[in-house]
Amino acid sequence: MACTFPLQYQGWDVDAVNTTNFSNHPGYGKIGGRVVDPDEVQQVIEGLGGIVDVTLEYDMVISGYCPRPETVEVVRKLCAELKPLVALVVDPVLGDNGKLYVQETIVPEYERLMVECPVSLTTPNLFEFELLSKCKVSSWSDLKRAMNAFHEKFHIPNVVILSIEIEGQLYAVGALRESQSIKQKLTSDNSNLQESEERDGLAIFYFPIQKLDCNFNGSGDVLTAIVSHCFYKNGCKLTPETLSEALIKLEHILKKSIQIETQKTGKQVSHVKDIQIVALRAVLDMNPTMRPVFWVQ
Amino acid sequence: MKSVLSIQSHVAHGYVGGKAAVFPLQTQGWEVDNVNTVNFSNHTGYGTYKGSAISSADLSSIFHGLDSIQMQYDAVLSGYIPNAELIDEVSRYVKRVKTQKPNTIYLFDPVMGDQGFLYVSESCVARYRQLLNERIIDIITPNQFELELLCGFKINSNDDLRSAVRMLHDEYHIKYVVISSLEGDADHIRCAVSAYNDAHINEFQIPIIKSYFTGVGDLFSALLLDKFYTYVENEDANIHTLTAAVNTALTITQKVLILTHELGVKAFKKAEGYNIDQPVGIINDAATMKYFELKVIQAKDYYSIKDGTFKSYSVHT
Ligand SMILES: Nc1ncnc2c1ncn2[C@@H]1O[C@H](COP(=O)(O)OP(=O)(O)OP(=O)(O)O)[C@@H](O)[C@H]1O
Ligand SMILES: Nc1ncnc2c1ncn2[C@@H]1O[C@H](COP(=O)(O)OP(=O)(O)OP(=O)(O)O)[C@@H](O)[C@H]1O
Ligand SMILES: [Mg+2]
Ligand SMILES: [Mg+2]
Repeated sequence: MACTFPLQYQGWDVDAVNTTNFSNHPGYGKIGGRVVDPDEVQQVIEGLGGIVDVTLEYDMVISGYCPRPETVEVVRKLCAELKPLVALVVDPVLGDNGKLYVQETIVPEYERLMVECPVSLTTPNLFEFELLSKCKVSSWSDLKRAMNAFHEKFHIPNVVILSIEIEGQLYAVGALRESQSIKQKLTSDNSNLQESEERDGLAIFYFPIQKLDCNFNGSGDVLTAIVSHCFYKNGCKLTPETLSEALIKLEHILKKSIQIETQKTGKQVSHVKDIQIVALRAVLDMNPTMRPVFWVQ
Repeated sequence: MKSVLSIQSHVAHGYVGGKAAVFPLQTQGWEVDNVNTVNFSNHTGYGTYKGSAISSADLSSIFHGLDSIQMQYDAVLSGYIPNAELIDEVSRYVKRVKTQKPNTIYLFDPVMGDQGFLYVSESCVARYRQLLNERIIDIITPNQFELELLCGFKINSNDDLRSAVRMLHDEYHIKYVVISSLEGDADHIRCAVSAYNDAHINEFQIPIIKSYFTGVGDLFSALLLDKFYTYVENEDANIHTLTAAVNTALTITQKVLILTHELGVKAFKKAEGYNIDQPVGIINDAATMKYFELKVIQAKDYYSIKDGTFKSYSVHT
């Protein structure tokens, strides 16, 4: 849901198929409403099929929170049929910080979806990435190994991991599969053109991000919306520019959300329950200068 | 930040109900809490659709959820509610919201039908009359058919119009009444505006665009809420502020419709490879209908328009 407004604001006609119908998100500790029955999700998708050709109507299909294994199955059946021109983005929402927030049986459902469907971009967080690649990541060499395993398993050309902590520093990581060798400006090495090292056709880059002393709800959804838009705009190719732009915008939104919350409560805040994407919508119009990028050798 | 609770229908594809109302409000800085009364694939004008209405138990659970996190709103907007049980739930919750915060503005759009055709269950009419008795509504925006259903008589003259409007003010204590569309001449829709503390009814004449639009009423009431809230912030609400807010909402609505028609005709030509004489959306024809969905996203820059360009007239009876 936090995905719809930023996409619309960036010019997308969004056909939103709801997978839950709650009063608020679980971060409040109390909740009303319920999960949308997977059959009902299936019904709505079938209804769409009655008026448009869902396999090629859309420029992009984004899959987010699916609360039940059967919901993932419904999404998989739809996505498996998508025509090659459709960009499929999958945010495999499973959990965070070592904890699943879905049933365990949903993990293999996601694996199947990611194997069988033509996914162009996926945006797991570290916990989700570790679950799906079956590798623990605590160093750059772990990451490289895990990314290779992930790639071998799923063959997804573009991967973004929203945040990874390595030696006390937070990073956002991008990985892209290259069919031929590419020339890159190694900004960490002061702009000499160099042939990038090519191993298994996989290039991995990263940006350090500043860790904010605060927990957020919904930051993943907003980032997915912003990354997906930048990704599509760039011809469905993840580049350092794409990820940098998205990260800078998100960072603005997070920092200002803390400010707004602090002003409202008059206290130091450690948990922002609702990031202020509507109040901060102008950030989406920004045209930020790119951050220096680093490559995993 | 201003906050609004919007209680509307949801469609995955197309722009009616919440899909027509929420985005324009968000672009104007409203934090929108969205509660869906139905969850459909598309609006019923396509002839086929799938999905279902929310159960009253689920709606009640959502409202209790909002209660338990002590939500307060600057405004409440309600639109399509398909049956009487759901109207009860909405009525109960809005009453609680207004008890929490008495100056919450409730804009109630009694969506029931249009041009003699009812698109909610029959039992809604009586239940809506009960809701009117709760004295929680600040602004009401029926079209002519809905006004006739609520008041129980036909509007054939300006005298009838005045009686109906007075009934809403005096019997139901609704301060602000906007009749979103009244039969006019062949080329115009009339829109009437009245405030409880003023004897005048103001009217606008809107040139009809010959096309098939859906969701226009939902867009219009959302825009009206935004403009009304913005205009009354600085002054007391009276017939002039209300008329000015309606004018701006009508002006924006007209621009959205012109854009929708233009883009619809263009897309139709491009996709179908030919130009039909008058490519208006045809009801129950999915193939045509889809080109004339309101261009709510493409019209993003219109929603901030500050002044209306229509002229209002005082109605003589
Ligand atoms: N405390 C923080 N400090 C700095 N950045 C943060 C923080 N929390 C989140 N972010 C930013 O938000 C992005 C997404 O956060 P996260 O990795 O938690 O995603 P997620 O787990 O998918 O989120 P969600 O559970 O909301 O879907 C990160 O890339 C990072 O830029
Ligand atoms: N075909 C049209 N041409 C020009 N303007 C229109 C047209 N249809 C609607 N409008 C504009 O939209 C406004 C609201 O439309 P209308 O009253 O038809 O909505 P409605 O759906 O009947 O209302 P409700 O949602 O309250 O039932 C009208 O006042 C008019 O300004
Ligand atoms: Mg996530
Ligand atoms: Mg209507």
